[in-house]
Amino acid sequence: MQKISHSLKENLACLQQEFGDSGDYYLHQANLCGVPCAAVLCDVVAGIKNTWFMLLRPLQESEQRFEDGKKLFEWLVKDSGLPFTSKPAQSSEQVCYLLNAGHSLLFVDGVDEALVFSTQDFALRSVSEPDSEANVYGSKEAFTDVLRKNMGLIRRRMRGGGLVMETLQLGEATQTEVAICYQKNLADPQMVDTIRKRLKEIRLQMVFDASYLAPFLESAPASLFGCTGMTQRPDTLCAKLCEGKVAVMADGSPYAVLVPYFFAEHFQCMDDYSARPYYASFIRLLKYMAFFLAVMLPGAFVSAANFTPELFPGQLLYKVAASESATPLPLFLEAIFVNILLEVVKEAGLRLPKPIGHSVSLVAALIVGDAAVRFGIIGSPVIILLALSAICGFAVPSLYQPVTILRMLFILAGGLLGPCGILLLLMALFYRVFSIDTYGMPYTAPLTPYSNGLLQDGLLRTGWLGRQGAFFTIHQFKKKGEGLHADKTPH
Amino acid sequence: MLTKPRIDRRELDICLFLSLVIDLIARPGAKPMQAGAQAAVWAAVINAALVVAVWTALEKLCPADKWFLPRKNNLARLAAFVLLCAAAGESITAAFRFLQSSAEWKLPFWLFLLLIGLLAVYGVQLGAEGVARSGEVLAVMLAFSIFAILLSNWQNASAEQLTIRQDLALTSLKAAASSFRLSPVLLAWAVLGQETQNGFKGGVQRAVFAAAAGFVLLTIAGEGVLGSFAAQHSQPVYTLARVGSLSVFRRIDSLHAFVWALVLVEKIVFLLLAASRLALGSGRVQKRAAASASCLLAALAAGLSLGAQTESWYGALTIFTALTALLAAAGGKVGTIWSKNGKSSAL
Repeated sequence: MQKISHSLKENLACLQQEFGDSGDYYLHQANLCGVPCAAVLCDVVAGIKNTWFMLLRPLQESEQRFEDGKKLFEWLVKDSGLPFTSKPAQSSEQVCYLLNAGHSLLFVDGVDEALVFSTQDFALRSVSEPDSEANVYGSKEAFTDVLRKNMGLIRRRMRGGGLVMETLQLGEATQTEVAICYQKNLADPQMVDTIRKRLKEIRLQMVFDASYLAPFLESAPASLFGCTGMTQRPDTLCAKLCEGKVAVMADGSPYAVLVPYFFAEHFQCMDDYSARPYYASFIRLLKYMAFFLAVMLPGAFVSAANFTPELFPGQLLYKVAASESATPLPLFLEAIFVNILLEVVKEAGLRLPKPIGHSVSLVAALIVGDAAVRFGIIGSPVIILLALSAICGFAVPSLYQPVTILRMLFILAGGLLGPCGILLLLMALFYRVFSIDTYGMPYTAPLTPYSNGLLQDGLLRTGWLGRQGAFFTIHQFKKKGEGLHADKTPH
Repeated sequence: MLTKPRIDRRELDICLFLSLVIDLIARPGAKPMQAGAQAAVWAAVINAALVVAVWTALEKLCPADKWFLPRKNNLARLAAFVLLCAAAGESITAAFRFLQSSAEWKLPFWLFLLLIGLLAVYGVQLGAEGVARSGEVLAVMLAFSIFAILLSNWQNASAEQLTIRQDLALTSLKAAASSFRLSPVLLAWAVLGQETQNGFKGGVQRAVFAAAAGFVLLTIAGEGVLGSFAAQHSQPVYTLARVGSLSVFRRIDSLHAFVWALVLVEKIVFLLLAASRLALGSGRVQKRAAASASCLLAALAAGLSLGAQTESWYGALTIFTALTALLAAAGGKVGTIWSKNGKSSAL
């Protein structure tokens, strides 16, 4: 780490070497209060006007005079009342970081520190509606790409005290600011320490999104199901902080990583807590059913059609047999092909520019779907079932990735091995998912091991009237003996 | 370094219950009881009480959590390891026969054996938590299955079908004697009980009586629907599932068979998990090697049992279980005495 020099000339020479070739490098030298000084900033991320009004103009107009830089510096820090940040910059690495982050720095001749002003003034996206976690009731705000704005959205909602938002820089090239948010009265200090330690040990060249950090915080990084969640909503994040979880956010990303994240949470949304309990419970059960249909329906159909056709009712059996006999491919290859096609169409629709993106669905539906069926390349039952399976998968969007892979695996298992394949793959899936522990808590809590939370806010949801006074944190899921239940007293 | 998993006592008891009750539901190749529901119910009560009495007596000799302590009582550990692998092999054969009879598919036995073995090694590698927690979910599925069977046969059931026997006492005793089983899963429970966080007393008693209660319910329902034919079936519960229908669903027996097959697989992995724990406890074996060794021995046993009579295997396993439990209890008692006296406790 190279310290800042006492000599203003040397410091400016270093800055010229580092930033001189950049068109946005701004340097203003002046004698302020009788001492040579220099204000530097990058004018694409810092506002020159802000710098003028906050720093240069008050000093230009001041009648104070000082013999040397140290006396001026001392006066600036202690008595001037100017809005410097609490910590001056002391090294060249800090200077680079702060200039790139939109701060302005004041160098004083004879002092080996630089005063820092927050003068950020860069283009940013305003707070808008979330595009991936839509809801009917509740807040319509989503995080933006600027970390400090996002921290403000959280701070505004958590006014009861105890909110901590630690920051650190990650990424060798990007030095991205990352925030660790938690409620110090509710989060397990050991868990927070572990998360902090894991983040500090990350050695990445760049961090452009919070999801880059997720694998380092996972308990089972190789698993199909992740133990971290992502959210774009400040209200969801604050709700998770109130349960004792930790959120990690990165500058430049509108998504926050939630740690830990349980399997049952994929089937929850903020609307559940605004809707009536009976309806919220119904929707949750529907989502669980949709998940299993999305994963197992195509494989079960292929297995039944190939190995145990007697399971079909008579009329359906005739139609399936007729369809299968009219197509050139075996049933399970058809299912694999259509599944891959669905993913290609989805991916194409996602990546294409919006003006032509909508035509992808038209092409897929009319040309590929309808024409392929009419021509006899693909059978209608396979198309229908895979479309149904895909729609069911959309009901649980956060599980889309594992659902897609598992669907393929179940099709392969059912097509090659029949009911035995489905059975064994399902058991393997159970063992994998149920064996995951995240930060000392079972990933499938409160589904299994069973606890009262299953009926209160797991599979079903009880109303707020019945839950008042009950203070829930995730540490109640920590593995202990029998009788896991919501603690009635706050911490 | 292997970390010691901590499973909940309730989960362990549920796994034990599932392993016991599935033997009463899915019994391909087993001899029909040939006794009416009335005698079968009494036989179940008598056998449950006998099993509990035997177990309680053994636990009085030495608590079950001291039977299979690592580096103590090695003879009992070895006997239990072989027994559990043999029982797992028998269960693999039972699962294969059950799937063949219910689903009528033609998967070769060697392929089924290979797949089950791979699954078992995978399940054991992942740890006891996965197996134990799966038990809770499967118990719920099984409960739904049983409920659906009862509901689907509700209209066909009639109290007039239930027969009253004149020679109840003698028939009950004969049925009890011919159907008495001491299941090796009890020893698996004792092995894995060392890994529970909150003790495991009373688990066997609860599970055995719960399984007996389930058997009683299903036996009465079976005779209520099928009449005296129920006693001629080796799997009357499966017949009930075939006969019953719910609204437009005609072949829901396939769903029931699927759930029961899941429970059978859970039992197999439960047994192999316990066996691999016994192999691990010697300190010289790695986790994967222990799991693989257990699976290989189980595969050998499965091959042997495929050609053998089911009843003869049941009988052999019962005797071997009793002897192993006695050896474990006695060895545990001796080991405890030696430990108290400050001598080496290695047998």
